[in-house]
Amino acid sequence: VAVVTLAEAPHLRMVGNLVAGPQAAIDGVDPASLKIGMPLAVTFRRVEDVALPAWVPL
Amino acid sequence: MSLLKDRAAIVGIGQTAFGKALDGTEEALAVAAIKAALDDAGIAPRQVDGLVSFSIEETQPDAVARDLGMGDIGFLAMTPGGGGGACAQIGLGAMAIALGQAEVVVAWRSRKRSAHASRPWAGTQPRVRGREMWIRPSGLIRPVDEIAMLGRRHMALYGTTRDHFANVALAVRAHANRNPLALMGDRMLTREDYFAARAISEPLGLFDCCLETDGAVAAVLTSAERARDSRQKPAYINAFGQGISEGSMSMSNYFGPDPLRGQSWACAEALWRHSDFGPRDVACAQIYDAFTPEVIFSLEGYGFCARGEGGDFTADGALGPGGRLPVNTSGGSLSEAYIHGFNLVSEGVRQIRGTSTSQVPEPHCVFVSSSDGVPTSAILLRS
Repeated sequence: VAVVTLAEAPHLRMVGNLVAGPQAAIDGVDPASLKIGMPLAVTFRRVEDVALPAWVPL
Repeated sequence: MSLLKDRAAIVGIGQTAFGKALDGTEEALAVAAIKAALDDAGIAPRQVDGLVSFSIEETQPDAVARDLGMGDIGFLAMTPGGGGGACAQIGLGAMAIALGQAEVVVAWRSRKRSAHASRPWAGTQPRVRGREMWIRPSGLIRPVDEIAMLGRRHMALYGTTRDHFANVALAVRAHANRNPLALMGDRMLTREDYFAARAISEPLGLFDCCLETDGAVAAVLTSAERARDSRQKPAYINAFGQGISEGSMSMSNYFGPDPLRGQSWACAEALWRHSDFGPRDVACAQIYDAFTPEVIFSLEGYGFCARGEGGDFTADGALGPGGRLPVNTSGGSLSEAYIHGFNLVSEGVRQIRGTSTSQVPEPHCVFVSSSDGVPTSAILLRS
């Protein structure tokens, strides 16, 4: 789980899961590969009838 | 100038046993602790004219007054909390006494939280709304998850390590090992034990987390004039503060301008403004410790050290018995009992009286704080 600052709107932050790709599992990213400050891209995970934003390390 | 300073004192403290699955309701525990505090003070229930409680306390003030045979009550206050409220109860009671609105005020906290099903997050719904929908779906469900995120940020920004968190846990346990009434009184904790324990929410492990406890603690306050004749040595309320830091959010403080400027920072301004003392004058500190990082955040927020230096401040046994600033000398929430920090208040009073099991030599000024993570409060007690 990460707190993410939006590059396009630095005053906004979101909490979301880190994932390897759009439909990847939420435990699929090695925590040792993560660093605070690293760039991420948004994706959306479908859970029942909602889409939750999640974050893919670049 | 302060109209509050040293005008009221805590003259009675009381508690139940601390344990798991205690007999009796929360109300019965509350009444027992309050009766013990009144007996300690030598004050009859009919002399009580003010009651102060937490917003999440189940035992209502009128029930307390009825159960104990109090007469008419003329002052009531309720403070947000939870973990931010214990010091506020004392401060609000002291204000009422200083202003002449009450003469004898009782404050208490009673909890039966040792059963898993009694914890609020056990009831988390599959669908959450409002502020929670921005936090819970990704897995930040329990308080420990929310604080772990802030702990990780402190590590990344300031080089704080799990060894620093361990310093907090080990120091508090060392105090608890001197207190036969602490839940962990007879259980030793080593650094190896700390690192071998299971993760609860990384980077936090089992020993970074407070106990879950059944029990109750209460305090009795009265005026300085009346306290002079009291049975116990009075613990005067020298200063009191409450705080919500600008732009902050309770527990999940991720979205404001400065996530590591917790609630302590605003409270510190209010606390020190009118006090005779500064952080260097504090003989020992009772710092709210639901999770070890909260102690480090509070050391910074209240000015015991500079921002970012809270980790280093814990080194070399600084917080333990005989250290530079002994912290949570009865064992605190981590190792004595988790009564939403009210046991930190009663331990502050014991230090002033000279009756702590981990007594500091010259307890002229004792600091007590409530949770850094939620709208909070702090008091300074003086002898």
